[in-house]
This record gives sequence, structure tokens and C-alpha cells, in this order.
Amino acid sequence: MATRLRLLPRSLIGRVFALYTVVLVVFVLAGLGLFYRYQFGVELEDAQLRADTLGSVMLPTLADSAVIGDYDTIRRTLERAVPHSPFSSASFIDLKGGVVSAPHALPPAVAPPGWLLGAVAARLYDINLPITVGGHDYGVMRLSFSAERIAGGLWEQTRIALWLGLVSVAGGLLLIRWPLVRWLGNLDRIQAFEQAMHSGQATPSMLLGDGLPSEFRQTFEVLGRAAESLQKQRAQAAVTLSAIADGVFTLDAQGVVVFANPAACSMAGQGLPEMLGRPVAELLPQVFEGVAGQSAWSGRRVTLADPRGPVVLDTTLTPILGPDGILAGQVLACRDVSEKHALDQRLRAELREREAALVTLRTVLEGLIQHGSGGKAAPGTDDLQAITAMISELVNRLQERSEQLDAIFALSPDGFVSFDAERRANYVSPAFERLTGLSAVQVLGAFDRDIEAHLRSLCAPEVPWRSLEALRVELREQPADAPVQRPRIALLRPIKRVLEIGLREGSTPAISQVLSLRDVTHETEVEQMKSEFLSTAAHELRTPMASIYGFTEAMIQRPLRPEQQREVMDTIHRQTGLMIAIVNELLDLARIEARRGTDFELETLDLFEVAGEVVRDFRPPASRPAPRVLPVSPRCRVRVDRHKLAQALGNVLSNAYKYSPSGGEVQVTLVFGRAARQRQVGLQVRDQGIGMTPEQLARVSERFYRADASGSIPGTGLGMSIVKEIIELLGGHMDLSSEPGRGTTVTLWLPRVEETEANLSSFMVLED
Amino acid sequence: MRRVLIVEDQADIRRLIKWSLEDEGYEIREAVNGSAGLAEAQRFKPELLVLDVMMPGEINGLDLCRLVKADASLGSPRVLLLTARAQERDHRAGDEAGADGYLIKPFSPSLLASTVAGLLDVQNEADRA
Repeated sequence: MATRLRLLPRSLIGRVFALYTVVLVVFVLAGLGLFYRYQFGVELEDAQLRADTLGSVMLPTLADSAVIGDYDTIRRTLERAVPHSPFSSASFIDLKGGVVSAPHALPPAVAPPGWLLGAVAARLYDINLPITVGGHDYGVMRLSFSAERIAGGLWEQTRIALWLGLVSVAGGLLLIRWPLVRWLGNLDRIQAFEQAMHSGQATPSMLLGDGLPSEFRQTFEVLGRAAESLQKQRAQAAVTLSAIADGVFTLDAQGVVVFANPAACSMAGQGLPEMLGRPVAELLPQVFEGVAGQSAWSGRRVTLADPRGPVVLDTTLTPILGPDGILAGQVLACRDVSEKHALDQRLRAELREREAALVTLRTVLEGLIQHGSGGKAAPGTDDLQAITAMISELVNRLQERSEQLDAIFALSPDGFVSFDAERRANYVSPAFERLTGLSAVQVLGAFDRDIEAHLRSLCAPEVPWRSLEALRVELREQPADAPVQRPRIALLRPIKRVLEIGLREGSTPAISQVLSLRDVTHETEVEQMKSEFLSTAAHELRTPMASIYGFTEAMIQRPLRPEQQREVMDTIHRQTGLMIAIVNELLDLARIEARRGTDFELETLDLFEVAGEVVRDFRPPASRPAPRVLPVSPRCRVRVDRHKLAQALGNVLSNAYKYSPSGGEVQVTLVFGRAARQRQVGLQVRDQGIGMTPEQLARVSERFYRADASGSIPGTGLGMSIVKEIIELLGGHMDLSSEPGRGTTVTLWLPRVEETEANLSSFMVLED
Repeated sequence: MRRVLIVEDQADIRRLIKWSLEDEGYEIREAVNGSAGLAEAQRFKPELLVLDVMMPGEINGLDLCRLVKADASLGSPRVLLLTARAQERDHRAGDEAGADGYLIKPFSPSLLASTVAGLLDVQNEADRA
């Protein structure tokens, strides 16, 4: 079968032609065969017939001649018969055996092949005709056939027939070839079309033309449509490929580039025309390093050296297999993953670091937990799980601690801010917010310098500022146990305050320093008051001393007239008395302040009675009437120190007289509180003196303050301070009202003792 | 006669000052507080003022000193401050107000007299120059 196929010509034209040839040859040969057979019989029959005819024609002549014995005539007759006959010889054999023979003189025209000669000779035999006359035999005439001549004639005809057959075959073939080539030649268009398709310029009309057989037309139309759709797909694929960022190389089975998209060109660093037809392994040797013989891979990562920095590619080589499973080509896709790769690297490095950190963290936490709880093993083997457990444990503990600390800090009057390593505030205590008016939101996360600047902005700008940095340097340079002179700042806002600044540098990484503020407003005020008090006291003492010193010196240095002497002595005496009063009252005040009422001998007394006693014992200035006590009811009881209350009332009465130099009555009475003061009773002293302005009134209880500054009214300026102190220590308070020129009213409010309580108290007094 | 104005709230001290200067042959006037002192100074045009620093009212000694020195119509009289305030800062405040002399209470009347005489001599020399 295979042999027969192999013998077949490849082309359709060849096959049709061969078939036609074979058929033609067979028919011609069959015709020739039939012709030969027919001609062979006819030829032999004809020879036989001619011999018979010749014998019958010659025989009478020969018989006549034989009778007479005319052998010459016989010879001549024989010789005349042989030419133009198929005999090789004609002879006469007489009874005595004499032979008269006439051979064919001319050689045959065509020499037949031996087989034909044999076949003809086999069918021929010599003709012997007896010559009998009147019953008497004279001899025999023998005609011998020339097989050569007969076969030669036959062969000649056969050869002509063969030639004719050959010529008709050749002519037939020539005739059939032209239409074959013309019609089947249309198939060549497919080849041209294929070429055009490669160059991308094929159109379906290329296939169709005039005179196309209908079968071809249909086929070509189908083919054209298929090609068109293929071309469309190719165009789409090309656009798609040029649009994607991945580099795609299309290779043939040998790895030679047949197509590359723009991204691939840029990866290889060459244009498409330069790359086409070159093996891709030559263009991108790095991609094929160490992969000889591999026809497919996926996700191979390759690093290309590029002047702009290394380019990392994820490459995939995919084989294209033909329908027969044979490798038809390959596609090499390269994805630029440089960024992803770099990211991966970083991520990996970070992960490693994290893991290390996690291990460290676990160790640290284990240390902390064991330190705190006496060796409680961390649960779980997983780092994260263990760490989570440990952290929650620590967080719980920290929360407890934090709550404790918060409670402590909330109670603490001192404000704190702690700073982290970057000097940003990470904790602020409630007291700090209260003292500075800054909210936690403002403070947390702020740098220490910002907080310092804010504190500074709260102070008066002209006051010199001692910076925290200077304080820090000072702290560092000093020995640890040396006392630190803490700077004080005077805030103007949110309210006037004096704060003492403390700074402690932290010993842990979490806390770089702690800034503390202590409200020393009260201390400062007290100190300032003390200092002012001392200074004022000294000043007040200097004034009488100036008189005493000056006048005595004057007396020593110059003679005085007796009346002058008297005047000077009076002055000195008066000023000395003032000095004594000042010293006494200062001592009183000091005592009262030092003891804060602990030396008071409290009794429950009838206030009206006490007041009456004091008024009775009071000595008004000469020529002035005693104070008038206005009767009141009901009586009421207070719990007081009799002597202190007497001192306070005495001072008030003394002032009432002093500040009403032009006379007028001084009244003493009791008033009862209403509404909020329902449980209080007031001891009221009213004068009709010079009175005071509201400004003076506000300063009455200031030490050494004197409403009269002219010096005409003697006084220490301490009397009302003492009154105020005493009344307040007795649980009451002093009220003043005054009008310049109309007089002053002083009310000493004291808490009333309730009736039942009073009874009990009086009972106890009785018991005493 | 040289004109001297005493401004002092304490009557005893005022009398002592007047006493101390009486024999020196000055024409002396007195005022009991700052505002009275300023009014008197504008009327009297003293050549020297003896001022108590601590005085009640709106104008104290230092204020009066400044006002007197600043008033061109007064011809820049000498000012001697008297004070019970003996501290350094009080002294400095006096200097800043433009005082020419400073005496601390209690003071010696003879020292006061010589100080006043000294200040007026300087004034004389200045006038002569």
C-alpha cells in the first residue's frame, strides 16, 4: 500500500495526469493487441490463399512442360512466380529426383524479431502439388513459404500501429494537460494567499477570480473567511500583546524569535527588527542560564543587569504543541517584578527582624513576669500566644498600678508631666492641668520646650526666665544629695499663682525627665506677708523712734525754753507710749497667730452681759461720754473667751472714739442674724465719726493700715487686725460698714449657742 | 532767705524738722501730704524740699519728687528724702526719682541741718556758675 502511495505523484495535477496516462496506455495497448492478433491471422490466410492461387495458375503450365520435359520453361515459370510472393523458393522435383528450383532472390525488406518469426514459421508449411497428367505422375511442385517475409510484413505493420498508438497517447496527454493546469492551478493561489497572510496583507478577494470551478469557489470562500477571522485574531493578539506590560516573546521550535511585543523589546534592549530571527537565548542569556534542555517552566525568577539598576523578571516558558504533539514553538513571558521583588526583600528582612524582636520580647516579658510573680511559667509554646498572655498579665498589673498612681496623682496638689526619650510629654497629672490651665490633650505629645514656652507665656514677659535647660545642666553638675534651689515662676493666667518648678531626669528609657510644679502661692504669700509685716513693723517703730531720737538730740544740743521743753517731753512720752502699744499689739498678734485659739478659755456666756461689763470697764477719752448700751431682748448665749472678746470689743470701742474726734455718741447693741445668719448674733458698735471711704474700709484689717494718715489720731494700725483674728478664731467674722463723714458701724458676728446646748453648757458651768 | 518746704504727714516729725532748720534762717513752709505739698511748692517755689517718702494719699514722696523735678516752672529745686524705709531698693527708688539726698529715720536733727545747708550750697554754686 505504502509503496503504491509512494509511487503516486505528489501533486493533484500529477495524479490526474498519471491516471489519464495509464488509462490511455492500457486502451492503446489493448487496441494494438487486438489489431496484431487479427492481422496475424489475415496475413497467414492471405499467404495460403496466394499460394493456392499460384499453384493452380502454374500447375497446367508445369504439367505441360513436364510432359514434354521442357525443363527450361519450368525454370522460367518458377522464376516468374517467386518474386512478389511470400515464398522463399519454388521448385520442381521430377520423379527421378531432379530438382528445378527458383529461390527468392531479394532479401526481405524488414527483419522481424525472432519470436514473431518463430510464431509465423510454426503456422506455415510447404505446399507440394503433384503433377499428374492422364493418370501419369510427372513430378511434384514444391512451394516453400518465406516466414521472414511474412513476419517482416507483419512486424512492419505492427510497428506502424505502435507508433500511431504512441503518437495518440502523447497527443492525448498534451491535450489534457492544458485544462488540468488551468483549472487545478487555482490551488496555487492558496500558497500565494498564505504568503500574503504572513505579511498580513491577505484579502479574501485574492482567492477568487474568473473561471474558478464551483467546488473551488466554495472552498476558497470558506478559506478566505477563515483567514480573515484568523487575521483579525492575530491583529487583536498583537494589539493585546503590545498593550500588556509583560514582555512576550514568541519563539519557534528552535527558540528563534518570531515575534516580540514592545515590553519584550524594551526588556531585551533591542528593537523588534533586530531581534527577529535571532535565538532568544542569545538576547537574554541570563534567562536561559542553567536551564539547557528544559522546554517549559513557570515562575522562574531572573535578575537582569540593567544600567538603571537590576531588573527582576518572573519568566514563564510555555511550549506550543502541534496537533501531533510535536513542539511547534514556545512563548516566553517575562514579567517585571523588580518593585515587588524589592518589596518582598524588604518584607522578608522586616519579618526576620520582627521574629527576632518577638523572641527578644518574649524573653523580656518572661523576665518581667517571673520577676513579678515569682516564676510563673509562660503559657503556650507559640511566641505570639505566649507574648499575648504575658502582655495581658502585665497590662493588668500595669492597670492596677496605673489606677493606684492615678489616684495618688489625683490627690496630689503637685502637678507632674513625664517625658519620653524624645522629650515629648507622655503623662500629665490632673493637678498639672489645673495649675497651668492646659488640658491633657494639649500637653500629651508636646515637646518639653513647647510646654516651657507655654508656661513662659503665662508669666509676665518682663520677668527673667530661668530655662529648663539651665536647670537641667545645674542638676547634672550638682552632687545628687545637694539641695536644689528650685526656680519659682509667677503665673498671671489662668489665675495668679506662684509655682515652684522641679525637674528630675529619668533613669528609664521610657521617661527621660519629669517636670513637677508645686503651687507655692500660699507659701509665697505668707513669706511675702511676713517680710512685709516685718518691714512695716520696723517702719512703724522707726516713726516714733525718729521723734524720740530727734527731740532728745535737740534737747541735748541746744537750750530750750521751759514751755518748749514741756512740749518736747510730751511728744517723747507720747511717742514712747505708741512704741509700747505697737510692741504689745505685735506680741498679741504673734501670740494669737501662733496659738490659733488653743489658749482660749472658752465659756458659754450671755453676750449682752459680757458686752455690758466691757463697756463698764472701758475708759473713754476725757470729756467724752461712755458708750451707750442699747437694751435688747432676747438675750443670747455665745461660747467665747471672755478676755479675748473683751480685748476685741475694747479695740473696736477705742477706734470708735478715736475716729470720731468731733464727738458724737458711741452705741453698743446686739443684732440678730436673719436668713443665712439665723444662727448668729452680732455685737455692734456704731460711731458718728469721720467714717471711711470704701477703699479705706477694704484695708481696715490690714496690719498697720490706718485710716487716718495725718498722725493726728494716734494708733498702731494693728487694733482691727487683732479684732479680726480673735473673732475669726471664735468662729465668727467681722462686718464693717461706713460712710465718710457719717460714721462707721462695726459688727462682730458670733455663732449662737442653741438653747438646749446652752442649758447643758450652763449646767456644766454650774458643775464647774 | 532760702525757701524750704517740708512735706510730712506725721505732725511730730514735721515739728522736729522745722525745729532743726529754724535756727538756720530759712523761710519754712509745711504741707501734710503729697497733693498739698505739690500745690504749696507751685505757690512757694522752694529752693529745697524735705519730703517724707511714705505718705498717705494719691501722691507719695517719690511721686512728688518726680513731679517737682519735672516741673520747669519750679526751677529744679533740691530734694531731700526722709524715710523709714532703710533698704537698698528704697534708696535706689529715691535715686531714680531724682532725689539729691536721702536721710533715714530716725535721723539726727543736726545732720539734717547740715545736709540741707550742703544741698543749698551746691545749689548756690550751681546758680553762680
